[in-house]
Amino acid sequence: MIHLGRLIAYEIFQDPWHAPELEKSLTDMPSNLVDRWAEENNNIVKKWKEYETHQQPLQDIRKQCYTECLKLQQKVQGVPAQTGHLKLEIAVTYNSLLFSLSCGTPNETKDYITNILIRALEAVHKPRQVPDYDLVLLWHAVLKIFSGTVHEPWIHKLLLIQWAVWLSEQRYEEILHLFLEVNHKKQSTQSGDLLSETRSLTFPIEEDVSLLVALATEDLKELLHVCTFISYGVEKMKDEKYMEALEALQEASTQPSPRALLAHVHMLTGFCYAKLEQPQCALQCYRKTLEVDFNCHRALYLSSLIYRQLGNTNAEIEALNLLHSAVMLHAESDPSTVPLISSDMLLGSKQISFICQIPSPLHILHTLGHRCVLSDRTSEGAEYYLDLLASLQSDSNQIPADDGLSFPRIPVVYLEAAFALLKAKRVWDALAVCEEVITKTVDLIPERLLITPSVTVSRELVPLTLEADALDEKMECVLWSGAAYFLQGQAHLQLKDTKEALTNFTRAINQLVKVSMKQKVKDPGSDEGAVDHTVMFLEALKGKVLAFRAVCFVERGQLKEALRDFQLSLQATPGCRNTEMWLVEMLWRLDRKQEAAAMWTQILNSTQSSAPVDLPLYLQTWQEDPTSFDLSSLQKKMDEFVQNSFVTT
Amino acid sequence: MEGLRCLVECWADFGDLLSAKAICHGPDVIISTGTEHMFVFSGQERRVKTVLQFECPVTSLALGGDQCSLYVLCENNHLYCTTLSQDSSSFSAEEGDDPTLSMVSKDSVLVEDGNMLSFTVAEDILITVSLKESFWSFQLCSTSSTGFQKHAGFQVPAVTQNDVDLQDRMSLAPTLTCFYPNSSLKGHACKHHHSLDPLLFRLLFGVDASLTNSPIIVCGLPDGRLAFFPLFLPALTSSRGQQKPPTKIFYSLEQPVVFIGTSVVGDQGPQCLVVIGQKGRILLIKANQRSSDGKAADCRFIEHVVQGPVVCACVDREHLYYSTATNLFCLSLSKILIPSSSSSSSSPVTAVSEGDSTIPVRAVCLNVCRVIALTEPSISPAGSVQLLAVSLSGRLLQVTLPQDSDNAKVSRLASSQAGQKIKDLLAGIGNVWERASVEKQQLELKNNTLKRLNHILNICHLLLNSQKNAQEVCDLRSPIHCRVAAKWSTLLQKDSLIVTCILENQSSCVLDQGWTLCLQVQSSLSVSAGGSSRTYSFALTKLDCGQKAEVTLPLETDAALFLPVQIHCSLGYTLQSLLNPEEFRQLSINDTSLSQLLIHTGSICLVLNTFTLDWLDALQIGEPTPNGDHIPKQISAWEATNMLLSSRQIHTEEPAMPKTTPHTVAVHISSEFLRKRLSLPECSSGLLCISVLRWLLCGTSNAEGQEDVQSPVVCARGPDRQEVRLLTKEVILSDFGSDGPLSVVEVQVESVSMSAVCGLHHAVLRRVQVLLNDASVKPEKPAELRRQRLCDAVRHMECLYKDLQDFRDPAAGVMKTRRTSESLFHLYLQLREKPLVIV
Repeated sequence: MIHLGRLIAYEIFQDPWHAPELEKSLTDMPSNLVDRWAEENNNIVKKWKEYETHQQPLQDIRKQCYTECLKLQQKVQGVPAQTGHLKLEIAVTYNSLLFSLSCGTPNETKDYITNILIRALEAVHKPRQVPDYDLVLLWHAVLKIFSGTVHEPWIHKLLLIQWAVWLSEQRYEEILHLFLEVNHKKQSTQSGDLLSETRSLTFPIEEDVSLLVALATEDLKELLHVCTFISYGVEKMKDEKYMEALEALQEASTQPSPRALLAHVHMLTGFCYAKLEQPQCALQCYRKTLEVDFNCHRALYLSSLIYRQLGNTNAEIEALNLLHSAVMLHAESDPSTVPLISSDMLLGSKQISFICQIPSPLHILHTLGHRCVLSDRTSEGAEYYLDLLASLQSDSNQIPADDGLSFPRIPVVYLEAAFALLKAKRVWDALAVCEEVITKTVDLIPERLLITPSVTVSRELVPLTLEADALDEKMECVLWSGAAYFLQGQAHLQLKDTKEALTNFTRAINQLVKVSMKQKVKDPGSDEGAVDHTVMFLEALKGKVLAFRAVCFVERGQLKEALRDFQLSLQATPGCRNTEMWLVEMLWRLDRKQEAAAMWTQILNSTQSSAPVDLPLYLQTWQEDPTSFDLSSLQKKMDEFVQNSFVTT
Repeated sequence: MEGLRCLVECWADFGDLLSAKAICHGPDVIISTGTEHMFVFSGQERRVKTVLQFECPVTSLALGGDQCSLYVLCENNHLYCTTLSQDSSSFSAEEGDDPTLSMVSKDSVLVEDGNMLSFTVAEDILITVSLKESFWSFQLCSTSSTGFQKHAGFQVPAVTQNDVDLQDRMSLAPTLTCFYPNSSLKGHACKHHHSLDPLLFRLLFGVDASLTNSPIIVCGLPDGRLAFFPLFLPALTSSRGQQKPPTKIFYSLEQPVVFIGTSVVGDQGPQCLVVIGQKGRILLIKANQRSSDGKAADCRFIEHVVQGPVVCACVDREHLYYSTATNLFCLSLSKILIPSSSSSSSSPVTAVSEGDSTIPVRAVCLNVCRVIALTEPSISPAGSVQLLAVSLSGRLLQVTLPQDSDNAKVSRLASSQAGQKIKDLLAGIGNVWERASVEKQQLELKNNTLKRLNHILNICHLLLNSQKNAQEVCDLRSPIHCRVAAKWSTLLQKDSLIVTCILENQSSCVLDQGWTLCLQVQSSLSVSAGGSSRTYSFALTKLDCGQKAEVTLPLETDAALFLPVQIHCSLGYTLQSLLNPEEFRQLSINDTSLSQLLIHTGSICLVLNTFTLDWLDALQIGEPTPNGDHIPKQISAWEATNMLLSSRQIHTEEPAMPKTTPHTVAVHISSEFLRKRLSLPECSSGLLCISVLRWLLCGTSNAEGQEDVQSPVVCARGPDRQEVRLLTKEVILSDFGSDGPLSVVEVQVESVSMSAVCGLHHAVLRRVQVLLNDASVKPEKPAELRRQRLCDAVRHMECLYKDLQDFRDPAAGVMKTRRTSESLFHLYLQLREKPLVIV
C-alpha cells in the first residue's frame, strides 16, 4: 500500500522523497485526479466502442484495452479505498473485468473480483472478517453491508461479472446462493430452484453517464439471463433429464436475446423433443430455428437424423445437402468480429461443442452418398461420392475434429464410391477407383492367410502395436481387393465384355481363397468378434463372385464350369435361392434332368432361408443383378417334368 | 577407424554452451544456445544479423511452413511465434554493423501449456507433445491466418521409467518429424519436407493415409517407442465397429530417440527411414517389394549399433552423420543396407552390429570434436558435402567433407549434348565479342577525335591568349608565329619576286596534320581602284615543337604589283579533317547528328601575324651601275610598246612615260636619333650611314643581306625592273635646331621610275615610323627646333593640302584624269622638294 502510495505521489509530484508527508494529503483526494482517471476510463471505452463499430477483425485491440484498463485500475487502487471515488473504482474495475473475461484469463478475473470486494469493504471501513479466498462469503459480506446504500447498484455490476464467471464454470450452486442473497436479502434455508430464482431476479443497476462502461450492464444482464437458462438446460440434457431441460429452455425462449442464441434455444428444444420421442414437435422446433437463424447448422443435421428415423429418405438427403452447402459456404466466409462478451464465453467450450457440433463435411458427404445410393438416386450418389474422394485428396484438408464421429476406412469409401459409380453406369470411373484400391492393397496380401478363431483377448493390453492388428489388416486387404476385383468384373459385364469380366472374377477368387480358416465350425456360444464379421463378408463375397463368374460361363456356353461355380457358390453361401435355381437350371441344361428334379423338390421342401447378412454397401445386390433368375420358365419346366416323372414311375 | 581430414572453418564463437540447436534458413543459420538469446547468423556475411531475446532460455525451435515464422519453445513451457524478416539485412547491411536485437515479448505466446515438452510444425499445423499424468498427449492446433484454433488431440499411455531424471529435459524431449508420401504435391513443393518411398509409406503407415496422401507425424518417445499418427485423416472405424485409435506404435528402440529422418535416396524417393537412439542404436526401416514367390510386401527393420552416446545426428542421401560428445562420425547407410537385403532371414528384424557380418560397416571418424548440434547437410558448389555444426565450446563450424572419389556426383551431360552446349557457348562468345569490338572501335574513334579536338582547342587558347597579351605588351611574341621575307628568285632566266613565309612553332603543342597556313596577300589599293587580295592556303604536315615550316608564294601577278602589300597569316583548321574519310564514314553510319555537326560547323581560323611588304623589301640588290641610260634587262611589255610607238611617232594618250631623268627624294633623319634607336653609339658617320642603309634594307635582326651592303650607296632593282639607287650620307643642317646645327642622315632615293621613288620614300618613312613608335626605348628629349622653320614647313604643307583638296572635287570625269594626274605629279614634286626631317 505504501509502495503504491509512493507511486502515486511520484506520479503527481514527481518526487518520491516527500512521500510520507504527501500520503497524509492524499487522504482528501484532489478532485482533478478523479476527473483525470474518469477521463482516461472513458477514453479506453471509447476506443473499444470505435473498434466495435468499425469492425476491423485483424486488429485485436482487446488485449490492448485490457492492459490499459489494468494499468488504470492499478493506479486507482493505489489510493486507499474510499467511498468518495468508489463509483469510479468500481466502474474501472468493471471495465477491466469485462476485458479480462473477454481475453479468457479466468484466474486473473477471480483475483480482481476478490480484490475489488475487499477494497469495497475497506472503503466503508469494515474490517476483513472473511478470508480472502472464499468468494461466496465475501459476497455475502459485501451484499449485506452494502444493502440499501447508495453504492448497492454499483456493487451489482460486479455481481454480474461474478455471475458470468461462475456460469462459464457451470457452478450453479454458487450462482443460486448469490441470487438468494440478492433476492431475499437473507439467508434462506430453502434451496431454491435456480430457474425460479433467475426468473424472479431483479436488482437495481445504475449507470452513470460520466463513467462509460464497455458493455452496458442491462445488456450484460439480459445475456446472462438467457445464457443461464441455456446452460442449465444443456446440463440437464446431458444428464438426460429432458423434461427439466425443456422447462429451462422455455424460460430461455421468453427472454430477450440475440438471434443466434434464440436459434440455439429452439434447436435444443427440438433436441429434447426428439429424445422424448416426439419427432414432429422436434421437426417443428428445428424449422423455427432455421427461420430465426439459418446459420444454426446443427438444426439441419438433427432434422436429417429425424428424417432418417422417420424413414423419409428424400427429406433427409435434402437436409444433408443443405447442410453441406451451408458448411462449405460458411468455411469460405470471413469470421466476423466477436463482441466483447459473447455467449461462447459464458457457456463454456464443452457446452458450446454440445450445442454447435456438426459432423465434418467429409461425414456429411459420405452420409449423403450412402443414402442416395441406397435410395436409388444413383447419379446424385455417384456425384457425392466423387466429391468425397476429391475432398479426401484435396489440399484444404481438415484436421480430425474431436467430435466422436468415426469415418469408415478409406478403402471402404473407395469401394462404395465405385459401387455408386457402377450403379450410375459410369463404368470407367468405377474401374479407375477400383484400380486405386487394388494397387494399394494387393501387394500387402501374403500367399496364405491362416485365421484362428479369436480367443477373446482383452484389447486394452495390446491396443496399439502393429502386429496385433496386422492379421486383421491383411484380412481386410483381402476383402477389399477381392471386392475391388469383383466390382471391376461387374463393370466389364456392364460393358458386355465377358472375357475381361471373367478375368476379374477369377482374380477376385484368387485373392479370396488365400484365406483359410483353421476351424470352420462356429460355436454358437462364441463371441462374434470382428474377425468373424470380416470372415462373413469374405464368404458372402466369395459366394457372389462365384455366382457372377458362373453366369459369365453360362453366357459363354461353358456350362460345366458354370455348374461347378454355382455349386461352390452354394457352399459359400448356403440357402441362397437364386443360386439354387441356377443350379437346377444348369443341371437341366446339362441333361441331368433327374438330378435337377431331385434338387427342385428339395428346394421346394426346404424352409431354411439364409440368415440375412448385413452386407456393406459395396457388396449389396442390386436390381440389375445378372444373377437374378427368372423363375417362371424354370418353374414351368420343372413342374412339367416332375409331373411327367410321377406319371412315368 | 581410419579418419578423414575435413576442412573445418570456424564462423563464429558464442562462448561455452551446454546445449545448442541449429536450423538452416536459406543462407542463414538460426542458432539457439540454450540461453535467452537466439542468433540469426548470416552465412554470406559471416556475422550475426539478428539477436532475438526471449524471456526464458530456449529449449527448441522450428521453422514454419512458409519459412518466415519461427516457433520457439522456452523453458517456461510457453511457445512463442515470431516472424523472421527475410531480407532485413539488405537495408541496413554494412560491414561491422551491429546486429539488430529484437525482444520477443509475451504477446507472441501462442500456447501456454505447463507440460509441453516438444513440438513441430507442418502444413500450418502446430503439433505439441506434453506429458500429463502418465499420458503422452499430442495436440493439434492450426496456425493459419484465420486464427489459432485447437483441434483434436491424441493420447498414448506412457511407460513409467523408474530411474529417469525428470529434470533432464534433453533426454525427456520426444522427437517429432513429419513425413509425406512421395506422390503428394505438398511434399514436392518444399525440399525441407521428408518424403518417403510410397511402398514403405504404405507398409508403415497404412492404406488409408496412403490413399488420401495425408502427411504422417512420427514421434520418438523418450522410452524408445516410435508412434505415428496421420495429420489429415478423420477418425476411422475399425472392422470391429469401434473407432480405431489414430496413433499407433510401430517399433520400440528401447532407447530415447535422438533423430528420425529419411535416407538412401532411390528412384522414387528416400528408401529408408532412419531412427537413431541416444545410446547408439540405429534403426533402418526399408520396404521389400512383393516377391515373386507370393510373399507379401513388408518392411525390414535393420538395426545397427554404434558406440554411443549419440548427441545429435543428420542424414543426407547416403550417409548418416552423428556426433558423440567427443567426435563426429560418418556412417554409410547404403553399405549397411546392401548385405542385409541379400540375406534371406525370415525375421523382419535384422540386427547388424560391428564385427558381425562379412563386410563390417564401420563409421568413419571425421575428427571434429565436441559437436552438439548439426544442421542438414548441403552440397557446396564444388560438390562436396558441407555440414554446419555447433560445438560445445560455442563455435559455429562449417565442416566440409572430402569428396569421395568413387562417388563423384557431378552431373554429366551426354557427349553430344556437351558438344552442342560448347558450340552454343562459343557462338555466343563470338557474337558478344563482335559487338564488343565494334563498340570498342567506336569508342576509340570518339576518344581520338576528342583528343585531337582538345589539342586544337589548346592551340586556339594559346594563340588567343597570346594575342590578348600582345595587345597590351607589344613586344611579346606568340609561340606560334610567322616570319615573312620577300626575295627575288630566278627561274628559267626570269626573275620573280617571291615571298617566303616561315611558320615557327615554339609552343609546347604539336601542330597536327590538318592545319592549314593561310596567307592573304592584300594590296594597299582598294578593290575598286584595281587592287586585289589573294589568299593562299598551304596544308601543313605535322609541325613539332621547335620546328619550322616554310612556304613560298609568288608575289608578282600579271598586273603590276602595287606595293606595299599586306600579308595576313593565319592558321586554319576544318573540323572535317578531324576524321579521315574512313572514320568519317563509320561515324556517319552510327551517329548522323555528329557527322552533320562536323560538316556544317566549318572551320577554325586563328590569326597569326600581319606583315607589310614594301618597296624596300622588294628591292633586288644588284651591282652598282653608273647612273645614266641603261638598257634594262627586261623590258616590260608596256615599255616596249611605247618605245615602238614613239619610234613610230604615234602619240598616245597614255599617261606620261617615265622621264628619263631620275627623280630624287630624300629624307633627313637625326643622327642622334638613329644612333640611339639602332644602338650604334660610337661609330663614325660612314659606318653610321652604312648601318642605316643596312637597317633599311635588311631589317634589324637578320644577317642575310647585310654583307651586300658595304657602301653607303646601293644600287638595286625594284619590282618594276627599274634601277634605283639609295644613298645615305651625313649632313649637317644648320638652321633647324635651336641649339645648334643638327646632324642628320640623309637618305636619298634616286630612280627613273616614279613609282619606285614614291614607294621607297614611303617605305623609308614607314620604317622610321616604326622606330619612332617603338615603345621599348625611352623617348629622349626632343631637340629644340626653330620655330620659324616649323612654321614655314607647316604653311607650306597647308597650301599644298589646299590644292590637293581642289582635286577632290566631284567633277572628275575621264577627261580630267590626265590633268589630275599631272597636277598631282607636280604637287608631289613640290612636296618632295624639301626633304622631310625627322628628329
